[in-house]
Amino acid sequence: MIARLLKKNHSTEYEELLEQIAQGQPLPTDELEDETRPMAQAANWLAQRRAALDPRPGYVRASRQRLVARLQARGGKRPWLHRHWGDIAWWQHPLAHLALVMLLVASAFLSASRLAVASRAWLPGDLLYPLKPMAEQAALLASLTKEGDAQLHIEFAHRRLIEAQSLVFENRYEQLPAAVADFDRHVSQAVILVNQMAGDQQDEARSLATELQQALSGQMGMLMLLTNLTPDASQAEFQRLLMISEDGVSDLRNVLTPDGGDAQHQGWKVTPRVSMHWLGEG
Amino acid sequence: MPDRQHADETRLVQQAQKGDVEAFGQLYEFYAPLVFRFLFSHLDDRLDAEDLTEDVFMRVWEALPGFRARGVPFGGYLFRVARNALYDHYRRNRRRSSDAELNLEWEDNFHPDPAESVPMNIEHGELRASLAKLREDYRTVLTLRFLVGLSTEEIAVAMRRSAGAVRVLQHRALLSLRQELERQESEENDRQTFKEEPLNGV
Repeated sequence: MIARLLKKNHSTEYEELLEQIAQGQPLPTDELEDETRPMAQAANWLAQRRAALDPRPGYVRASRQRLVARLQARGGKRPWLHRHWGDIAWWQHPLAHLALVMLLVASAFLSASRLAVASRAWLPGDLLYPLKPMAEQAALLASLTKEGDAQLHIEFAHRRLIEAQSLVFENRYEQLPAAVADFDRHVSQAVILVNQMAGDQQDEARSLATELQQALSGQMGMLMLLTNLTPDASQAEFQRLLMISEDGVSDLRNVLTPDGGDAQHQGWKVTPRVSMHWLGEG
Repeated sequence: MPDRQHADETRLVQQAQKGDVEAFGQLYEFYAPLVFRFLFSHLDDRLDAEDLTEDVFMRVWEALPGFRARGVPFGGYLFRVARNALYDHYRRNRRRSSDAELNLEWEDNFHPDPAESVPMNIEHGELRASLAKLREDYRTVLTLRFLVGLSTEEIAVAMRRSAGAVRVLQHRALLSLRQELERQESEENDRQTFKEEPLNGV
């Protein structure tokens, strides 16, 4: 039944029905099919309670005046970093491109393999660490296929996890947020690419999805263990790592079970286990 | 939800990027109620939601020069910032705000009209209690879709997922919510039966 519902989930009528509810239109009870009724009623239950979350009267206008006055008092100026970089990713900045070229020239004088091996030990906060993401970005630029990109994102996500664990072992908790944010970015990119590949490269997509799913679930045991070992201030970062891993595994179910994702109800679960291969590398 | 097509959003975003505070004020007036709804659905305290709403817009103002539309809906971008702000808030107030310690006997901080606010507070409590039983990503997708009214594409940007993944997530979340509502209804029926039994005995 779940498979049928998920197929229904992609059907136009079902999407249109949910869109109507999301836009606050009344639920057309008579026209509902048996399979869609439970979901539509749950959606409608939520939509009907929207008013309970409305801001109090006058709040928006008053807070707008407050915000505008606050910004005008600053002369509409933004902090220097944001004014010049905003939230632009550092690798999109012209200076980063220049640095990348310099890195490529420098790497011509160094053995690529030695650099790669040496960089494995570098952790966020280390003097040479900035070279590591630069080299990773260069590898991504050099990759010409989605499969290659996805493979690299999986590898880099793995590196961030190992780095997060190493940071805890070295009591360098202040660097954890950067590793977690980058882990999130690589997992998201890998999941998006694998889902995109699922349409026309099913076998490759499934193989990558399996690899990523095993990589993510394989680390959960260790992450749960470390969550209990870290101080309170850093536990949130580990919980976020776990959440990102769970999200990533969840998003891959479509690729791994294209019949409609019955896996959730067939007992498919993330099995926390420690990957000796990964631990060995770390 | 108001029609965002008429808000001339792109023009306002471009003006705000150049430092036009009034244009940003217009964006605020349009989006603040939606951001507030999203935040209040995750928080017990109305004042916390109000503070955090303003914090979200300050963050967006500061980061706006880096926003490149290129098909990315501003709404999705805004709610990505809101989601991050919410995580930061949880981190700062873990003991007070964590769902594990959800206090259902929450107190109201604002009483504009008791006749109106009491039913609203009950509904807010019901919502919080039901949503708190769901996984975080289920809660987020349902809130953004049916309480805020974002499109699937906007939610995809906010949650950094593909639109297809959001549709599947939404379906599973609805199924989970439905089961939770049925469980609550069953418990309520059991309570009613328990209350009526002594009377039947008499």
